[in-house]
Amino acid sequence: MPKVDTFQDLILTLQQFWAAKGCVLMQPYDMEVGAGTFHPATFLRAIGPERWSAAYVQPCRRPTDGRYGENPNRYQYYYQFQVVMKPNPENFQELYLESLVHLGIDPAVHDIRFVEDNWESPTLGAWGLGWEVWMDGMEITQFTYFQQVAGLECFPVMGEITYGLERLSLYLQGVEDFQQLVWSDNGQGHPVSYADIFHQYEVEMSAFNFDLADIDGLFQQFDYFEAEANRFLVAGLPLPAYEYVMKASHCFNLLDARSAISVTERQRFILSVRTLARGVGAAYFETRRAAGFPLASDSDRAFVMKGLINA
Amino acid sequence: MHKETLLLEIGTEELPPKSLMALKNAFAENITKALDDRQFSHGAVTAFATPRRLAVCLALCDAIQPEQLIQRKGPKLSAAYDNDGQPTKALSGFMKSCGISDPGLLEQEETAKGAWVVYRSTQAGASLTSEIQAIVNDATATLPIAKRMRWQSHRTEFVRPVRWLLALYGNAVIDCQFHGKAASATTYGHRAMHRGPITLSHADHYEASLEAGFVIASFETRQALINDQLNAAALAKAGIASDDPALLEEVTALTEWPQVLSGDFDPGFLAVPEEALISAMREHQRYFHLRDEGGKLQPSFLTVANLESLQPHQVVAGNERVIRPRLADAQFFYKKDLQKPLDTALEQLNQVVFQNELGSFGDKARRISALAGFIANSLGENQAEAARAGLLAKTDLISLMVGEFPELQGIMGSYYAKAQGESPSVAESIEAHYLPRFSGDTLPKTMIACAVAMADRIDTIVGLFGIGQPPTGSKDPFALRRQSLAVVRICIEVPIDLNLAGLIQESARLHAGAFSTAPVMDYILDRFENLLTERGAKWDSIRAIRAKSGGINNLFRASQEITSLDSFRETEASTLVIKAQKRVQNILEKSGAATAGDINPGHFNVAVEAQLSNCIASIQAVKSEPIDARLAEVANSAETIESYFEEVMVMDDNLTIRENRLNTLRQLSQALTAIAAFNLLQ
Repeated sequence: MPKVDTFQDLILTLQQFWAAKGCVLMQPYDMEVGAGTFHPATFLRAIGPERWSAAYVQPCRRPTDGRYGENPNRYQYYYQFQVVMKPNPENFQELYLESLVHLGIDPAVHDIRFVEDNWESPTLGAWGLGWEVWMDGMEITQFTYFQQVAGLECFPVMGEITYGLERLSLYLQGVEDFQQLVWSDNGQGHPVSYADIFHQYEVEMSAFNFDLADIDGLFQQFDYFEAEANRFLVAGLPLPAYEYVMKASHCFNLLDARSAISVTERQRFILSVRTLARGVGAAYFETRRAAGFPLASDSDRAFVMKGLINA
Repeated sequence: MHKETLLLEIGTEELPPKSLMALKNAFAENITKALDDRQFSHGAVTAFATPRRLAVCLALCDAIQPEQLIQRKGPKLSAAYDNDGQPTKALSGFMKSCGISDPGLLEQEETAKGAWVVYRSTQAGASLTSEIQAIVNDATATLPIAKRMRWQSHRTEFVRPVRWLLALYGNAVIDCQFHGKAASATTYGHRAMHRGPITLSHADHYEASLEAGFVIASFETRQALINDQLNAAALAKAGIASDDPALLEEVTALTEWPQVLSGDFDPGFLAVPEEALISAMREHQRYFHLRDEGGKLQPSFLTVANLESLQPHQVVAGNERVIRPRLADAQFFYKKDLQKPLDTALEQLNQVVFQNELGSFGDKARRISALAGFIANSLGENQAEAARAGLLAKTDLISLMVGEFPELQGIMGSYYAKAQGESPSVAESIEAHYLPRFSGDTLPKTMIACAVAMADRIDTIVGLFGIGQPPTGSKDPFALRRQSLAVVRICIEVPIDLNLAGLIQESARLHAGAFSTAPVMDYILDRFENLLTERGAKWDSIRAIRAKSGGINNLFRASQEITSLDSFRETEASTLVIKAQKRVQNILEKSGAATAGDINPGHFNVAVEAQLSNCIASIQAVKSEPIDARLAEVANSAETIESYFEEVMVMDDNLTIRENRLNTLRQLSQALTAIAAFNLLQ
């Protein structure tokens, strides 16, 4: 068993574990995203019949979750460890439980449960069925079988595991608050804590998210990003279009944190982003089809090429 | 006859807890029905369900169906034999297909269309072995699954991925498959407490074998066990556990080996409104809360783990670690919300769109305020209080707490208003204006709260009709049907004696919309009609009151009128009046001219004419009285009306007399229709 004493040990161990299960180790996407799902290695790779397994860390921004660093386990910026496997292996749940054991979590001691939590991202036109995984009552992971992404049926099904790294670390390190987590410790007397790295950031960003982000400017940016994404779609370039969808989506999240969007307005914004995401999905599917779905198995490719789904 | 226990278990990944009970029952019922349809008899049926399995066990199930009677229809008798009495080609072919050569084995059947040749035979019953696949297919095809899913590269769908199939008949595996899994004698125990498969040597060992694998297969047994453990754990904490059947069912569906554990939280959190603490515990964590004898919330919780942990204190510590930030969040929201002056909250409502064409929630709040004031004024209540409560009713929608726990809307607003020095009546109304939230829910208790509740709903209904978005049969995104029913219930049950038509017009004025309000009133009256019909009022009595001249504009009074009319219809006089009014309508429809001229007594020439004229006058004389008095006057006139038609020929040849008599009928009709459209009564 590896030693998992620090936050970075946790990342390294999960990377080793999933790399050994055949995942491509990716790096975080270099843009603001609300979840690891937005990373093209999940969102776009879920589309079409091509096989794909990947694992990566993704920092996530959820402006409304900011608590000025005062809540022990809720931050507006935090880390997910994302694993996707397509098609999902039959023993996907068991692999996940094995990964917990690998981290030193004893399932005979801790109450680990799969509690229904179906995932739906109206902005991505995506949904899946699955669970949040509870350990002693704390949600440490989201576990999802994608059924639809960008309005397209997922075939084969991509299975997604999203570990909440900070929450898992609370258990592994036996502390109560994100701030107390040890990020790194080389044993030479200068451990670096999570608070050392992020506390000031949480305080300042919470103020930004809730009180200072410029509402008018964000509305203008949203419109600009939307228009640009559309322009790239017209040009037949789904990948740059998708980056602008992510930018628009982040604007929307900031506006939400500023309470600038009502229930009914929210629908309109979600619809705008979803329309873009669908456009991206359809365009991406077409470009991959034109390339002959090179990563697909012969039978899955033949099935999709025949136009039996997503025609 | 050979009989054994039949056991079927579908092993899955974790099933949705809120539908587990329904799935369990449906699976057992469907298997039972599939067996019954095929005439396999059986004994007691027991259903099982845990998060990872649906199972059914049927005692004494037949191995073989009873002998089946087969009947096949051949050619018409007239086409079966030739002139020599020999089988025709058609009949020979039929006999061949039946596998017989002797026509003596055939029978005849007489039908309305003639006689036909039939062949009746018996066939040995099919075996359970040969039928089991079809039984499983039939039973699983119609399970109540809200959302089906696919997994891996499979094209088939089920509620969750299928991982194994156990099918035993007595001590033998009975071959069948489900979603690619072939039946075996193997099942699986608790994920953590029992590693490896469990192989059954007999179907009867199911419950016991699983129990040895730390799974209590019976839903009901688990539920009872949890209940006992909850009570014991509460007792140990000198408290009383929340009585919450829905939560109990959910946690039963989330556990295979339930263990109730208790934990504590910092009593300092009790300063936060208890509704918020309870929501945090229940909605996020599925915890039961505890109260002391006096009903005071205790700083403890009960959780139902799915594990007999080697170190239970770690599970407790973990849960305590989770609930603390949840409660800290509630506390954070509460403090931050309290710091926001209500005026600032109102200001922020201006930035929250209620509906694109109907403006912001700020606009809505001002309309609710004006309308609530209007209602209070009409009812002789405190207009200023109602207007204030209306203005503040939606302020908590921008609060952090309601953002996190939408079910606390109104409740938090009430706390925040109280904390900022609003009157108790205003604070109470902010919470109560959401009542009734669902069919059968309680109603607001004070008139001020009723005024706000009515104002909020009428504003939404009128607004959406005004912008051309009334609900349709399938689409009602703003739940106008439910909101209209709430309006009806408040009017007739509280009751409030209010001119609803006038209120709707005032609302339309506030929306500054130039549109007809008649469809709004009709829509609400349709709900009114449905509700009263459900409660036993006669359908045509309601219609008769709706169709009285001027129609309904006050639901409370209309409901009283309908009750009175229903009673009136028990009397003999009513039969005469209804019959007469129908006759009057017939005559008047043929006579053309609609407006009633004066009755001229100078043109009377039959005694009863003067009597009827007097009756009309007396009915009209009480037109401002309560309906019972008016119906009594109608009853008094019934015989006179009856005599009038016996003795008077309305369509007299003398046109002056005829017109005078028509005017009499018109006056009578007007007097009656002012009370109810009697002609609509059956």
